[in-house]
Amino acid sequence: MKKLSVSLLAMLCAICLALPGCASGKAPVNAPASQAPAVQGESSAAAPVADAKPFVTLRFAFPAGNGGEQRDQALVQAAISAYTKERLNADVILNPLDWSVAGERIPLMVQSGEDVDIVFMPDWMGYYGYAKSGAILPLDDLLAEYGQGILSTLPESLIEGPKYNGVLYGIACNKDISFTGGLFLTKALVDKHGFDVNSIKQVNQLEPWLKTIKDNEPGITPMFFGTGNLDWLGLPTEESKDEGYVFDKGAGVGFNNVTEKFVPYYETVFAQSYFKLIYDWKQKGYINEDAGLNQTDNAAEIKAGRAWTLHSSSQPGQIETWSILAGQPMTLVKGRPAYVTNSATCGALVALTNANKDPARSIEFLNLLYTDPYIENLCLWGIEGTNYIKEADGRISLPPGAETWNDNGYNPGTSWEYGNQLTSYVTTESEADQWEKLEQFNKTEMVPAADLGWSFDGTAVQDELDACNAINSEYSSILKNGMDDAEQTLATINKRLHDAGLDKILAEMQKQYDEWLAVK
Amino acid sequence: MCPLKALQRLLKNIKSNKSMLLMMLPVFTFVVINSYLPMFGVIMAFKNIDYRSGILRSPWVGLRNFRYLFSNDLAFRITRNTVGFSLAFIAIGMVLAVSIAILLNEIRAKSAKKIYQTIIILPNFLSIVVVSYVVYAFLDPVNGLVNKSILEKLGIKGISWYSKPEYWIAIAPIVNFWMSAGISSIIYLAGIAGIDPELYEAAIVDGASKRRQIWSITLPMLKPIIIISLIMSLGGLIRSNFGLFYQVTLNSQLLYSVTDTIDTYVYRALTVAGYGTDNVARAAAAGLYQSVVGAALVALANFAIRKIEPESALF
Amino acid sequence: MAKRKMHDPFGVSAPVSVAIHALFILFSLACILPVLLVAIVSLTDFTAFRANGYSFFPAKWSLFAYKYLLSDFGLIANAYGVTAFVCIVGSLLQVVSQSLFAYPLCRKDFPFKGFFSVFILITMLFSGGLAPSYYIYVRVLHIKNTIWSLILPMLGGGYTIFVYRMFYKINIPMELIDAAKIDGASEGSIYARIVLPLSLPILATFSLFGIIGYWNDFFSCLLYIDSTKLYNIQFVMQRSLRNIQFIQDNIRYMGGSAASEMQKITAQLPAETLRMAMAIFGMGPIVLAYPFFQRFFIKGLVVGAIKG
Repeated sequence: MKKLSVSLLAMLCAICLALPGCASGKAPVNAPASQAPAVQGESSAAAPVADAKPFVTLRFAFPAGNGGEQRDQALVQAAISAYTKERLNADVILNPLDWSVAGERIPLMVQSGEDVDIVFMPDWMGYYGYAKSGAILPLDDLLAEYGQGILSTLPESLIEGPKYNGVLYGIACNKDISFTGGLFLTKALVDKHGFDVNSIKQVNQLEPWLKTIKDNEPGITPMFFGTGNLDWLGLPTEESKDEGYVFDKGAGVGFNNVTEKFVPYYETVFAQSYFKLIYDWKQKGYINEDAGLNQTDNAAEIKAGRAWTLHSSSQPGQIETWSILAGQPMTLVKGRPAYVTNSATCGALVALTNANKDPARSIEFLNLLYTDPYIENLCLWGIEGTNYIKEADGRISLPPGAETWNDNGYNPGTSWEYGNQLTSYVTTESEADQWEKLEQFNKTEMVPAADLGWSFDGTAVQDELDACNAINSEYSSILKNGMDDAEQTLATINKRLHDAGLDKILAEMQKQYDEWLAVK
Repeated sequence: MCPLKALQRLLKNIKSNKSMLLMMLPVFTFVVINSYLPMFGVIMAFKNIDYRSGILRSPWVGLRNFRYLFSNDLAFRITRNTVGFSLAFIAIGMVLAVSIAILLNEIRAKSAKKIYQTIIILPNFLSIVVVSYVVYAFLDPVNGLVNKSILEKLGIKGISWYSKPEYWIAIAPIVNFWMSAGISSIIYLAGIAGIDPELYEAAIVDGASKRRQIWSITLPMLKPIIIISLIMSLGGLIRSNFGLFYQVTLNSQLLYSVTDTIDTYVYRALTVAGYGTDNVARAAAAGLYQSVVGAALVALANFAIRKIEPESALF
Repeated sequence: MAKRKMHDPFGVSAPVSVAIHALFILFSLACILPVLLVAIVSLTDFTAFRANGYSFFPAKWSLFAYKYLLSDFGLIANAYGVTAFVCIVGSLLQVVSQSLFAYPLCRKDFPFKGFFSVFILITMLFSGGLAPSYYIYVRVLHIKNTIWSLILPMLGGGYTIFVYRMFYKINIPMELIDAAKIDGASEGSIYARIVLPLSLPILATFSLFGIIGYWNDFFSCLLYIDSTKLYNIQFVMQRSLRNIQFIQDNIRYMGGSAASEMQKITAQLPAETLRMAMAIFGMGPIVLAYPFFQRFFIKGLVVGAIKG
């Protein structure tokens, strides 16, 4: 009987393993989509008239405030469907997912092969992993065929940046390409002590300022490390000013943007000097004792009069925002320039899933978002007259009956996710020339990272990567927040990294990078 | 045994136990849907997932996705921490839960009993993030209640709680028991409620003291449920309470030598720079590793129990 | 001595009783003080909280966190309805199906008990992962965005089944069952008339745990529900926080004025006090329901039934 029990169980398991294969006629995490996009593209191009294209329903999933429960969602969708039927003989259905669930849902949608054709898929939702494993489609041929509008609108860096192994899998939203780093300080104290915010070119130069504040302003932490949208200052130290900016690539790997060499990050002059400086400042009381551990919102601390500074990314308009949140005028010490790194360009991407029913039509729809402001703004702002009113200067204001932009019936807040943000409407709460300023920012302040568009295949050194990754994630916070003696910590981390095979990783990276350079 | 005969016997058994088998149908269905159908996911641990071919046809890569769990010098530490804490939690937690149930049962005043019972289960309902805030309110090195209101008053210098791993050997279990002891005692309360009072009456007639009653009646009657709980807990020996070791510790790196467990390690490994690693497969591998070890432990424990107390064995 | 025996044969001596009370008072304090702190913080004015941190004596009181939490009253009321339904139906389904399942397992004469025990045990140890479960629910069963996706995930078996089985083995004498069988009772009526009444403590325990489990579950809602009509109360509360979190995590990508507006919105949302309010709110109903279940944990309940 026991033997029979076991074999019964085995049979049950076997059935269960096979069953999903029978479900829906498709195997899991897979939808054997149509043939390779290139073939698809050709056959569509051969079709003489748009009407010859069969009607198709496409679903577009992306995060949005209030998910799909905007009051006028159905109205707006009807308008969109009408538009896409006329232009593309397709019905593009928006599937907005509440912000609170999008991060979990979109990856599951992609992994399970759910009936979704277009998805918002930035690198922080797994873009690279899905590109590698074929969950999202390569787009180069499709874009060449159907996405000329996209290609001509997007700046070069937004097209090159998200490439994986030389192939593009995600279409970036046309917005600010990258962001700078900066140190925001309360203007009152800056003026009081006569500091010149434009004079800071190296981190060390801040020290006399910190000392002044510490000595003269009791109860105010000169440099507060808290929570809430913080970033790297990104200026060199005095010792490292000639070294060239080094990117922290994780796992202890550093990439020198000037020499284009991969180096051990924690052995660079910058790392050695900067972390020791931070630890020194912590000992002197310039940095709060619980840096790295506290749950205190940085801006709130400033507002409460207990802190002087915060580190943050800096986009146009950031000063005003921080001034409001900190309850007083803030001023800015500019930090690292707006490096256009791969991750900066992958912050907002749209991809086609493996389950996509009609890649060509999908690209055509996306193309329209970049070239036709009508559909772009229909998706972002809803219907004129119902959800907004157009003003004379082109900006939009609240419709009658709405008190805030939260109850105008349709405000998903998605202008940063897809399409051409530069053609989207500006509300009367912002400046009319907001997009001009942004374009200017994009054109003048971007500094491309040397490895923009390069991707690393870590298979050869996977074990070493894992080991170094683990080591790095054990000390990074300690060093950044001065939680322990920097000299010792650096010595320890460097030794452990070398023992774990960091050099092998660096060599492999350099090799792949040089090969990529040669081909470029 | 001849397969035909076995099949006949099977059918006969099914027929004669029809109604009981029918009773099992609902849960059977639910379990098949919730556990067995998705079970195919475990093969992801052995594959290099390619969505174009689907899970079933993706290439096999053997144990490659498991390597990151063992390939570095942290493997020992995370295992030691996980197992150490699990053992402590299981053993001490059990003692605490049973003691609470027994002691509660001795309280005569009904309203006091109800009040205590309700209050001690409260911590279980706080989400782990809230618990981390509460712990922080106490252990904040600068403004925390412990440093400021207790130690300072006693003239002792404040301790940097989140920087000293040795303290967490005690802090983590304390937080764990605080959260779970109350609710764990409920099941033992139910167990005691089911004990025949005549047993106690007989013991008292024999002149048994309270302590003797507990030792000879209550505990032995609770033994089966204690055994089940123990065996089950062993199944989770190399799992840990992620929230406790990641959020309550504020993920302070200075504490890792004590608080880094397999689960927090896996989380770190999977969320940092990918370089194209297959995180879905690796997560599946970690889960499978923990499942296999847990299953082995349960089987071992069950085997041992079968020799001692065959009635209580799971199978 | 004899007097005490008659009045209170199960009692402990006075000093021991005092000690026990003292112990529980201490333990209760340890449990309730932090909860009290959470409650107080939830009623603290947000600015005061940001300025002064956690305190039992806030500088300023405020109901803002609760007002914010309950601001969409229609949504909240609906969510309560959904949660009540799911908790009651789900817990009932759980208890009935699991206790039914466990009954044949306790019977020595049931030839399949080994098979089904292992059947259940395997599910407790091995799991296929989140994506496969999602796949089954969404693409095979098509229960996405239905109430079943909130009830089904917690139906099945595990620890509770083994405990039921153990309870039956101990408390239900085989003679009783044999006698009933001789009288011609079917298995079903044996279960209903003999097993169930004798299992009250354990049924009560797992009803309670079932309700608690369903009450706490926001993740199923997160995964499968799109329509606000099917949101349950825990998810509605979590949602506010998760929205804030999403914005905060991704603000640097939002760019331009969108970012500034988002930042200003989230800065006005009292994330910490909100979280505390959610915690208190979340525990309320369970705490209120628990006393109802406590009567089942009285010693002698089971035996009384047999004798009666």
